[in-house]
Amino acid sequence: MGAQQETTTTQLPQSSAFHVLRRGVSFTRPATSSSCTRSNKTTEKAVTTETTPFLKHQLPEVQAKAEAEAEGFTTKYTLHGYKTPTPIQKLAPQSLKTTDTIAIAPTGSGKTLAYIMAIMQHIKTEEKYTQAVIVAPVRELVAQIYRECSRINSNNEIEIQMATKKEKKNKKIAQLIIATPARAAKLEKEALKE
Amino acid sequence: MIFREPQILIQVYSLKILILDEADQLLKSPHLETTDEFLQLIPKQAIKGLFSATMDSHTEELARQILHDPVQHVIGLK
Repeated sequence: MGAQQETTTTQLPQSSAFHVLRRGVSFTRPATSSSCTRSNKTTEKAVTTETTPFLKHQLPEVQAKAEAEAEGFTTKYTLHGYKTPTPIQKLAPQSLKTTDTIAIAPTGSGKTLAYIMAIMQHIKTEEKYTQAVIVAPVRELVAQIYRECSRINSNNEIEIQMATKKEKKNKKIAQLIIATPARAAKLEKEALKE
Repeated sequence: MIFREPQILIQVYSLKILILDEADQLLKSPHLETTDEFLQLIPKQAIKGLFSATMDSHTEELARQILHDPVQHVIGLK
């Protein structure tokens, strides 16, 4: 990155239009590449970060914030064996604070932790009602997500509940519910009837 | 109201965030119908997040109808 900036400055005097162009390039390039600096060096070229009108406007600020989040990340999640956030873990929790989000990332890129982080931001621990729901297609996956959530929630900060057909013995109130779609629909309808 | 029931209930109105994992599967049959069923019940202001490893264009279009002005992150090749 430093080398890139150096070449920019040496080429500046050539022409003013070119100068603006170079400035534009040198401004955006570090911003986008820094969003995937933690990825494998070998896969870095394949990593594209498609953003959004929302993110494009305030990329520097969002980026700065994401860096700050990353700092917080290390203190909160290193205990559980997570060293540095993956690209998706930087981007998704940030946008899920305020906006609906579609996140497409390959298996093993840390999607589960990414949305657990987002959920942790949203849940107010002192409010004892359902605040978050995770839906996954099959029961095995629900169980897997539940285990992951429980691991992060080792100090029982929030009440987590798994809701699948086989899970009959349940606590009554949970702040985070993990369910299969059929079960989620059924539970919601029953709650509405009350 | 909730305490009478032996099992948990999802208190729909208080929901702040909903995550759909493996969203591409949830938005295809046989899950699509039930997914749609509970999506209609949750509050409009709840933030929704769709997570998936892959997503074809048809599913993506469907997702955009469900979500409100979504941000999209694509990591790696689609």
